[in-house]
Amino acid sequence: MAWKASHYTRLIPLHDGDGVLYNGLSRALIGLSAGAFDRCGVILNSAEKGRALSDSYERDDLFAHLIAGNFVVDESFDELAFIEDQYNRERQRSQFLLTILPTFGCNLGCDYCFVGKKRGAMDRERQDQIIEFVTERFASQKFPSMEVDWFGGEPLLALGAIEHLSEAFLSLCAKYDTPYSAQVITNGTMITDRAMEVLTKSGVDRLQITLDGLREVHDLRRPSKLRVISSYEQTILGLGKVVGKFVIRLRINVDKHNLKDAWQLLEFFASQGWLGPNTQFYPYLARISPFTDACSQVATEVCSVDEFQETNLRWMKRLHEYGVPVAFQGLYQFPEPKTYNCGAIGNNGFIFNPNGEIHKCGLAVDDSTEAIGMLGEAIDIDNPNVRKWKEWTPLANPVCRGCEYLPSCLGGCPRNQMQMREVQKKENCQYYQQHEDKILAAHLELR
Amino acid sequence: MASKKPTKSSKKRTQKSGAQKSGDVVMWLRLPRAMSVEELNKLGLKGAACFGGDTCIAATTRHPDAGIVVEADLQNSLDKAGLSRRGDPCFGGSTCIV
Repeated sequence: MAWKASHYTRLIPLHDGDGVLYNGLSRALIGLSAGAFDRCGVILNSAEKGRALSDSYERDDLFAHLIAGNFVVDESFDELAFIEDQYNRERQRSQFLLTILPTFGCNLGCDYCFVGKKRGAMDRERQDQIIEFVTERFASQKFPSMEVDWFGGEPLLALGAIEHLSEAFLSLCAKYDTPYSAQVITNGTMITDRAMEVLTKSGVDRLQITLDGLREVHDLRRPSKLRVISSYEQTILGLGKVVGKFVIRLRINVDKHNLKDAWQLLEFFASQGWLGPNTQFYPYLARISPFTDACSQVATEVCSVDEFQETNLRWMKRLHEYGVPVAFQGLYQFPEPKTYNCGAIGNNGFIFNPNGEIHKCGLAVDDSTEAIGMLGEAIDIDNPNVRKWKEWTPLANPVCRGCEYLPSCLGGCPRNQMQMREVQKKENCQYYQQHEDKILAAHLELR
Repeated sequence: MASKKPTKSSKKRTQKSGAQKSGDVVMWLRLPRAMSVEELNKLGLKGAACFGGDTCIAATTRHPDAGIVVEADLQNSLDKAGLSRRGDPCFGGSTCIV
């Protein structure tokens, strides 16, 4: 058997000549002292891409490790075909992933919110149609798991809907022996004892809460509709109630103006005793970007990918110093191969808005022209909105096909590619090609 | 194909060239799949199945005598192999010198 270097093997130098060998497809990761790192480099770079390595290298004791980690593969093995097969297979049998907007209503008036000016809550008839939709699918296929994201508007304004629907979902998952998990994406201002009780009973174990910076900036960008109240203060009060009781992913939206403010937030979290190995409180930085028309005005405020990533690495180190388990976590961008890259392109991913529309992409959930169907009606598989998601694949893109970061990227956001959003596409490539190795090395330093 | 040229060894860590130099360390951080003990042994895992632990010195530092140490995200592999993360005779911990 002849061996060739895997297209997805990366040699990443660390310090003093040491390094790591990572394979983006197999996930294998080994640390190497300087001498071993050099030798691996010599072996892996000894032949042209896709060509067989000299069999003389097989006598090197490192070669067994290269084989074990799929850092080298059988010369006849078509890695790209393997990825393509896996992608097509896994999107068919993807988890049952529902995003439900029980209301468009919100107590905050953020200018950039892509839900825009939509109003209205989901009535009981729509809720029961969702239960019917889910019941029919459970009866016709086996799902590896079911995951529900409660979104909005502000979902905690619709606790009754969450309670009603969750009861049915939990019952169906028990009947069909399917693991269930749920999270709420909330602004954190509506967390009451009643809300916590409903969420716990509803199988919600994770909350994603967002801050836009320190109080002044946050209140300016995310004003309470009751203008006399600071939404920042309300969110901090909410955090105080849920930290330690739920997994909290605190997203901190940053741009070139408030990037530096994040450090003060971190010190504040530490002063509250929220940072540590056991609190399950994970603050992370998110770089704002003009994802939708509603937030297009932020285009001039966006910080560069390089500046953001430099700050992000320091952020991770600081969290690590506080004892937060950051290393190897996907939330902190540890690279992992994906089988498919977005719920929208998975066959079993659906989004329900309060009006009963069924969507695929969460960023278009306020745009009725993007709906793939309506609750209570059969989905037309020939509907162009259905077909565009079903048929989209990153493997139609020649750049993606040749990219060594394909297993962890899989083309990035499908919507960006479909709509030819060149800035976002370019930044996505920039992230993987210029930063993924640095991020991986940073994680290893934090072990 | 690998994408980057490796850096040169520092003088401090330079070893003689060749395949079997004792100072070179290969430290497994993550396996690509569940592997049997036999497979792991083929990679040079010595003695009883020590897979290190969160506080194991060998798992967190590069000691030339440490041999091959496996750690991180391996519970599934260990379960399939019928091993515990800190199985006898490895007790892990801060005093472990492998």
